Amino acid sequence: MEKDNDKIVFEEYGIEFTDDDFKGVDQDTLIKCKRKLNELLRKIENKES
Amino acid sequence: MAVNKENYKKLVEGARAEGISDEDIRGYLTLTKTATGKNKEIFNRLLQENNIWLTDMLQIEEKQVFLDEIMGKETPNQENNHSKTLSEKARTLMEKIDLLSQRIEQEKSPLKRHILAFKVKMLIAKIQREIDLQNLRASYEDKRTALLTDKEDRENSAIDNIAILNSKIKTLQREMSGNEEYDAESPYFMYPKNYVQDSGGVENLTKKLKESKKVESQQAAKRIEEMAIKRQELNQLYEELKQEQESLEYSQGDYEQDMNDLDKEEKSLVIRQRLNIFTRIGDFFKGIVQEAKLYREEKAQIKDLRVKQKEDESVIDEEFNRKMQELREEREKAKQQLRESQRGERENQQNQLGQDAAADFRKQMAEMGKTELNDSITPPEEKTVDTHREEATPAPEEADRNDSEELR
Repeated sequence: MEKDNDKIVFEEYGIEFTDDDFKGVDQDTLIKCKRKLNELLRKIENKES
Repeated sequence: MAVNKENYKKLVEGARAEGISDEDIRGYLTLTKTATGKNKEIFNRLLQENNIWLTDMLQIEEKQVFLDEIMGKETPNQENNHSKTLSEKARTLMEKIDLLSQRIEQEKSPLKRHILAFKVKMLIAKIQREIDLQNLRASYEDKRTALLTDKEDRENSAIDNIAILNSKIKTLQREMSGNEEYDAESPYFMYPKNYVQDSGGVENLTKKLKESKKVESQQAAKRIEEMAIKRQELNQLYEELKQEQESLEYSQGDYEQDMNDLDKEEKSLVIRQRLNIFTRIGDFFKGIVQEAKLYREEKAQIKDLRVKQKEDESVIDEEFNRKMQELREEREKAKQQLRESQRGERENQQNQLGQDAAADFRKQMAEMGKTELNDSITPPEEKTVDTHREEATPAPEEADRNDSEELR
């Protein structure tokens, strides 16, 4: 996994997230994003088990 | 400190000369953007050079109007771009996350999903950090606003109090004027100061005056006491006035100090948040390493178990084969014994038959009158079979077939 200057990289999908992606984004959007990711995590962890 | 437009103009010109965009300058000055890296150094230097405190802007109600005056009006495009940029960012973030979700849901490999789960957790932690930082900044903005409000309230209160106190002082002074000779603190007091001090103070003097039988002395005593009370009031009012004036004088300085303390507090909390996320990221990495280690250990254990299983299986196989061999040998032995015992019986039967035949022959000969039989003439079937003979029987295959049928 790459972690370069606060980047989170999903190299297999060509997607990366930096701190700049989140700065200045309104709270509503951030909360929605967090909710989606939690849902994704639940799906991943359920399939693993 | 009052807001100085000229200083702001110089700051703006300096920032532009250093290549900082108008959008950034507005953002920094209105505290909606935080300068980082090179811009931070430049901006801080310009603030110091021009004697500007960022928090001064909080005093200005119409910040954009003020900035328009100094920087020139922001074009509608620039305004739109600013708000467009933020909403575009939000949209881009949502799209990225949707895309990521779609891709990850299609991932089948369990190990990859495990690793992806960790990355997603880190992403969630980053988003939470941003939410926390925004909440932190908002709470500190509220604190700054509260500080400013307190300052303004204090100053307004001091301004009013000074006016009120001054008015009271004036009134009292007017009441006291024309009666200075009865005021022990006035240079015009009717009794010499040294005498008053030596005789034990004004109270003693007043006492003596009251004890006097003279009406004027008693009246003087009364007036001296009245004046003493007024003097005390006046001194009290002077003290209060001084305090209010000092409060007003140091108000700005105290406010700036409080603001600085608040800034430092905020910065240290933000740094702690960042360190927290790095600690959490560190913990995640440790978690990954730990998980990978456990996974490898489990794999190694499973491998060992498989090896042991194979070893056990081969031991079991050996044992099984040995037992089977033993059983086969025992079976062969039993078959052999059965054959031999059956052979023995057959030979006995044959012997018996031979003997019976010989007896019959003798009987026949006897009946025919030939009583003198030569012993050399042997009846044809009296041959005894040797039961101890180890050679195969005349029809071994047939005997074996019979044996195997019996064994079955």
